[in-house]
Parts: sequence; structure tokens; C-alpha cells
Amino acid sequence: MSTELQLIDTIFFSDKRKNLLLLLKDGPKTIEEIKKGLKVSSSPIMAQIRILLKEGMLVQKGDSYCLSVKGKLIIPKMEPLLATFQVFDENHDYWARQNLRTLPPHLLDRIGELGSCKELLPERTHIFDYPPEIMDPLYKSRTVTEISSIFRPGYPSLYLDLAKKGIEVSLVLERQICERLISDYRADVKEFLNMENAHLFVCDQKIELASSIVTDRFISLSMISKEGRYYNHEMISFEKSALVWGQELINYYKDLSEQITQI
Amino acid sequence: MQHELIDVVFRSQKRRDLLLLLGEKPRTMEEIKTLLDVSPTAILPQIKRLTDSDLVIQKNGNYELTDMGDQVFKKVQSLVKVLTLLEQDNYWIEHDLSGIPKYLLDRIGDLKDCKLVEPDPSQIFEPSTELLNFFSSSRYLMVFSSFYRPEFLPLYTRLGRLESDVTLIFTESVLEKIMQNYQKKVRKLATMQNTELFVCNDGVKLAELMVSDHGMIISLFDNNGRFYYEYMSCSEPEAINWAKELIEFCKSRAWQIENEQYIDNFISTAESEALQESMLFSLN
Repeated sequence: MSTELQLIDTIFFSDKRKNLLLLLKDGPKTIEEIKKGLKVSSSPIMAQIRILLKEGMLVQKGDSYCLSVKGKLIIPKMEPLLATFQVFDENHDYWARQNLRTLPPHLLDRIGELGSCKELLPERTHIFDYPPEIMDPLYKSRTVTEISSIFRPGYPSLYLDLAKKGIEVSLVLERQICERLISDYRADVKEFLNMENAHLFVCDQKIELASSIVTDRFISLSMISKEGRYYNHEMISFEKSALVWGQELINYYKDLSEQITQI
Repeated sequence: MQHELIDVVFRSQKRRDLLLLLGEKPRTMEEIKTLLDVSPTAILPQIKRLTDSDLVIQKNGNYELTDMGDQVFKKVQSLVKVLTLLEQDNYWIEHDLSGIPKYLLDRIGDLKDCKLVEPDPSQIFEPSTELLNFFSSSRYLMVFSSFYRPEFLPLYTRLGRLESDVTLIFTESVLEKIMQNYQKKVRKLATMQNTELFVCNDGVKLAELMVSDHGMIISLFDNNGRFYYEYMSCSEPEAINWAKELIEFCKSRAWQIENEQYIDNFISTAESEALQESMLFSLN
């Protein structure tokens, strides 16, 4: 097991080399394109290029540089590793505290795609509400879906309001939450279901996450801790890759759910 | 202030080895000491660093990975496997990998324990007894070959008779050649209960692939399309599974020859010319 694996040093312990490799992943680049892409000057980056050429990670073709076969085998492993580490590093204590197995396994393996995240904690004035910061992006969204295993104060008023603004909204709720919604807010739910752009789904499987909101602008997660505790928060990301990840999360639970069209 | 995970994992080889060890399963201090061949004073500070970083937790006398540790482990393992593969042998970068589909190329690290086998130059044109012995008495055998290797035919029929499952995938030209010389044998293979025979188009960028419960071998063309009589071989379960999946992939691109009539058809078209498109569809 204890091989030296010196390449690790070459790859990871220089940001310049790391970024250069990731840049070349998208295809061959000339020195001018590299300088522009990494915003660096010629001589320092040439030194790094020479090191990577020597290690066999790059090859030179004419006046451009590209990943070697070796590079092409390694970089696809390096990228998810770096992305995962970055997500954990940015909010280390949060991820260490949460029960990560509440995420579907195939999406947990791609947690790096969440990219740069920020935890929103509502102040005391909104302690039981959605953090006010998400209202603006929420109302600017074209589609909004929330999956949830907890009863949140936005049901159904917030979603009714979003729907009335012409936003395509879907609620995917665990069975008991959905039942409470229907029994406590019968008239509102009827109005909701009568709208063409509002959809309600009931999930008979356990939704392990507390909740997640996915829109065409952002994704936010609200998770349960390892001890099974919950506090009101949103872990939010606006990155493109996170939106794709979120869409898959939604689809995963939608596939386990049935749509309710009338009550 | 938390340290960056990259430093936690890669700045110390002991920590990296520990992470990879605990990724297999939880271990006691005794096991860690023995398996990594370290003293407690050397490893304890590293364990502490991993527990402080929330990657490892001590539970009932065992050290185990946290959820976060497990994610970090998976990412490190898949990288380390590829690096190990590349450090073992230059075979992979000197040969044409384009015949391997992406989902299997992503897992090429599973072949990290493969060893290069180079036949003795004096025996290059002799039947490969080494391989024949290696695969004799297999409980199952799957073969993809773009080579004409008549010396293997007796092995296939013998295994077939011994009720081992045998899957054979040949390229058109190979099958054609075998037909010319060993038509009876092929007819028998095609009709044996536990033997499946497939044919695929020429031009597959894969020289040879054999896998059984005993192990696997793979040989590739070099980057100029040339072939040398050497192959990579491994008996680790990971590599065997990988090779089986590659066989499945080849199978999905091939047509089964289910009975003698297909063989008659095949022969008649082969005689007139190569397989025609329409003919291939009717085989399907």
C-alpha cells in the first residue's frame, strides 16, 4: 500500500499546476491561451509546464500543450476529489455534523458538484421562517420545487403566492406531511391544485433529508444532524453544477412519488 | 481553524495509508499497528489529526471513518488506484485504450495489480501453453479475440463438455478463418448448451481479452495499431469483474450465432464477400 506516489506532490502542492491541469482538461491550449486563462505571466507558468512535461502529464503539439494519456487518466480522478474537498473545507463543521447518508448515495458521491455553498441561518425575527435572503432569488425563479419531510410555514401560502406570480411550482412531500397539509389547509390546497402551474406530489418512501428547495437559480439543502436533530437553516448554492445535482435529487424523489390532482 | 483536507490527507503518507486502510473496514489499534507496520507513537498523532478533522472516529475500540471520511476516502482511493496503475507499468499509456468504453476507463484503476507477461521470444509462434494452463479447468470462461488462435479451440470444447459456461466473441475475420479450417468444431461450439458464440465487426481496438474465475488477461494494440505478444494479467476479483464488464460491452456490440443455420448463412455471405449490413440485421 505504501507506494511513494510522488505524482501527488507534483499535482496537488502547487495551485498553478493544479489550475493548469484543470484548464487543459477542456482541450489543448497555446501558451497565450494559458496565460489568459490563468491570468499569469509567461516565465513562471513555463516553469510549471516544464515540470508537468517532465512528469509526463502534458505533451506539446506544435505550439499548444495538452494532457498526455497519463494526464487524461489522472485528471478525471483529481477533479471530483478537489471539488469534494472544497465543499467540505468551506463548511467543514456543517458537513461533519450532518448525517450525510440522508442524501441518496449516488448524489452523495457527487457532493463536490454543489460547489461554493453558504449556510443561511435566520435571525430570531424569522426563526421559524425561510431565511429572508432566499426570498429574492425564490421570486426571481421560473421553476421552484421543494421536497420535504418536515412541515414548514410556507405550506401552502408561500407556494400559492409563488404560483400566482406565474412561477412553475411543485411540492414533493412525505405522506404524513402531505396529509397534514390537506387536512389543515383544505381550501388553499384546492386552490393550489386548480392552478395549472402548481403541482403536489406525495411520497410514500421516507424522505431522509429535512428538505431541499431546487429552482432554476439556486439549490438549498436543510439536513438533519447525526444525532437526529434539526435546526432551521438553508445550505445554499448558486452554481450551475449544483442546479444539475439538485434537479437529479428532485427527480429521484419524484420518481418515488405520486401526483395528487384532486382531493 | 480547520486545516484544508488536502493537507490532512496528502501531506503525510501515514495518514493517507491510514485513511485507505480504514476505508476497507474499521480496525483496532493492534490491527493498524500490524497492517501499517508502525509503532503507536508514530501513528497516534496521525490518528489524532484525522479525528480532529472529523474524518475518523473511535467507536467501541475500533477506529472507523465518519460519513465525511468515507467520502474523502472514496475520492482518494479512486485517484490512488489510477496512480498506482500508472506507476506499476507503462503498458497502459503505451497502448491504445480507445476500445475501452468510458465507464470502464473511469475504473481502469481496478486493473492496478495487473502484471505484464512477455512470452519468451523463442516461443512466440508456439501455442501459448502458459495461457492454456492458466485457463484450463475454469468454472467459466469468457473470451474476446481479434486473433486467430486455433490452439484454444480444444480448450473451449473441453470446458464446454465439463459444463463450464463459455462465452466466445470473435471478430468477423477471425470467425471466418476458424470456419475455413475448423468448421466442424465451430458447429459443435455453436450448438453446445452452455456455450455462447458471438461475432462482431472487425476493427475493435482490443486485441484480446480472456476472463475466468482464475483471473483475467488483456492485450491491447500499441498506439500505432501494432501488436506484440505480451499481455497484462491479474487474478484480483476487482480486475476479474472489470474484465467481465468489458466482455459484456463487447457482447452488446456483437451478434449471437445461435444455431447451425446462422453458420450456414455466415459461410455463404463470407464466401460472397464480407458481412453485409442487411445480413447483420437479420442475424439480430
